[in-house]
Amino acid sequence: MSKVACFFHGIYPRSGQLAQASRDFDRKRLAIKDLKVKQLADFSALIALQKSGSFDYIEDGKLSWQDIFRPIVEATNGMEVGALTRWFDNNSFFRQPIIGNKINVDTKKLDNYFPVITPAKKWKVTLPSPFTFAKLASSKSHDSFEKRLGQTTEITALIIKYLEKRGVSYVQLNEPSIPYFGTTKKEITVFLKSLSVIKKARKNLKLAIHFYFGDATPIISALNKTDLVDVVGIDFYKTSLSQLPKNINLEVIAGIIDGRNSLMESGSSLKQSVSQIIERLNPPVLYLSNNSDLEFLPEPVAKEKLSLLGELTRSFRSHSL
Amino acid sequence: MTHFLTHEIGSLAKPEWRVKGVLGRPINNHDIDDAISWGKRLGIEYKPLLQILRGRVLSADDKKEIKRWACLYAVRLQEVAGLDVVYNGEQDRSEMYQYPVTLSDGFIFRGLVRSFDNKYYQKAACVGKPKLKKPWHNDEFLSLQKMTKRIIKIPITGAYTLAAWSFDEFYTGKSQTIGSLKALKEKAKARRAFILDIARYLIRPNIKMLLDLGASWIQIDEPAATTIPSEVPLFVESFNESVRGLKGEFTVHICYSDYRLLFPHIQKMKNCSQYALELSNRDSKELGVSDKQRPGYEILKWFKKYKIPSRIGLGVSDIHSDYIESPQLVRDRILYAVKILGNPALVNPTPDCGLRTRTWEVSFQKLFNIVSGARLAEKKLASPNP
Repeated sequence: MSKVACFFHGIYPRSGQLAQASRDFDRKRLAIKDLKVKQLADFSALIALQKSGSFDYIEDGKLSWQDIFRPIVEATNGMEVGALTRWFDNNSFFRQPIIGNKINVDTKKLDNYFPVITPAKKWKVTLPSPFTFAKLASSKSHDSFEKRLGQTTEITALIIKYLEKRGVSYVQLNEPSIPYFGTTKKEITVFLKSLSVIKKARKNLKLAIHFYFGDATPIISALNKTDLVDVVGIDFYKTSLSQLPKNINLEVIAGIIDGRNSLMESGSSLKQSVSQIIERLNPPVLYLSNNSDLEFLPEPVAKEKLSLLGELTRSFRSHSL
Repeated sequence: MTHFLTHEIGSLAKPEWRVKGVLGRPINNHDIDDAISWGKRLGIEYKPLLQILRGRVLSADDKKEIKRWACLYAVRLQEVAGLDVVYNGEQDRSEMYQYPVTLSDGFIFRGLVRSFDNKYYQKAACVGKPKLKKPWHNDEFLSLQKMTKRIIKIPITGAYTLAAWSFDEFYTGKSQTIGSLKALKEKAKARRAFILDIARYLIRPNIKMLLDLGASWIQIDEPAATTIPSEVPLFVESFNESVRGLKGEFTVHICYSDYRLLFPHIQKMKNCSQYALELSNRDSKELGVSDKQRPGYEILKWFKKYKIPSRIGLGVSDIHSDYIESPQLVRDRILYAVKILGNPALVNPTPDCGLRTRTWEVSFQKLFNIVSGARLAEKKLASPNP
């Protein structure tokens, strides 16, 4: 029987107060120290929410991140922030990373972007997958995708080493590109190669890769035959359970909380869906989670959804462990 | 001789005296000077406005009057710049999403959602069948009629964009299980019903009322048209539903999008007489009419290839930059479009999008140069060796 656990991943929405403070800071109506006070208030509330829901791993919510790439781009010598670009099919935008020939991450610049979470055994961090990073970036000298992927893999490996040194226990790579755009065989090959580099970079931390914004079936089937990661994630709003392989060997993240619609999920429907997922995939551990970042929702809605996630997980813990 | 019809796209920045006046904030001397200076430049008898702005406490009627004056200033700015078709620069509206949603039943605002960096918008959820609470733009049109003798174009946010920028809590069933093919299909069906109901019960009635009042040109704003590539046919269907059976000039504005995704689907758009597109943002600043000099306008070849008979609202001025395009650069962008489309009547020079992020000074110069560039292009085409 699968063990059922839970966490959330990715960028969490800022509260109305923090959003207003961020705007005021932009307009020079608020000092940075006052903005940080607001960020800390949101951070503390988010940590408390996860702890009260007995989440198995805790994330910081990336409350100061302007997009999933920005702190990494700003901490990397040889990388620049480019044009405002649509984030897949959302009414949400990121600045396209522009990669130069020589790049070098200054991890000291990252310290503020990865606030410490205690206990360390619960500290989890989401990073962009190197594949999506390379796919959405451009390079100054119009290099091939393969070269960009090599560079983003190198950066990610360095950041993972840095995070492990700081005590992080679990890193999740978020990979929307593959399910959204689909991939060629050649791309799958270079993707797996990139993961093998990442795997070597970590020592003991748990490594997950989560696929969302599209059907994850083909890539899950490919990864299930490997030991490149410990955990694979699936967006169940885009993937049909019946198409997935039976009895997955890896641990699984089930993206069952919709990060893109404010409609509150029905607890009983979710319970039924989770039972079906366990029955078919039968993974060693099933992590109940959100499908995409929750930043597409207003903060009060995201908060309610995380509470539901905690409650749902509790109902499985009581009789499935 | 060819005449290139010029027009704006929608918004202009709101003058400080308009913003502060409507919000009831103190209006300072600088704001008053701004009203005087633009009043003089635009030939407006502005003294009654100053009386209102100098009032200690502004009543609801005063605030309404301030908005009306802002509309008049915006219209005059466009007239003095020389545009053929004018609008009030959204001085009467808050913006293009919250404003129409507030005037509609079936929606509840759920809170702030980030668009990018520290920019947020209030996002609503559809919680019931959409229905008009109040006409969105009737008063605006009636007021505009009194202000200008030029052609008036009324922009209205389109059905697809309103749906794309809203959550759907009504059409998507709450009880459906996730992770099944059936659920995926049901979701697609629900999405279509949502978008078409907005077209049917919000957009179409608004357009019909405007036409009944005498409006002739309605611009449907659909910046989200290509957000979900597989849903472009739905955008087309919603446009057709919005104007079905109505008689008027209907155009569509799309910006900051991958326009290639529109093809071939827009061949099925009925009664769309113009596509107003942001193009100069993608273009070089070099003069000339070669493909290499005009990379931003490559998409026009697709319109030609797919035999789209509509006019192009040709974005010739970047609204995200204070750089003032010279009349010569505007001329060459127009001439290139004529070269590709093969017919000057299909080219209507415009800014890329609404100018609300620019100052009035920059906006005026940009609009003025669009008109000047159009005149230069006309001369060039009329010369013996165009």
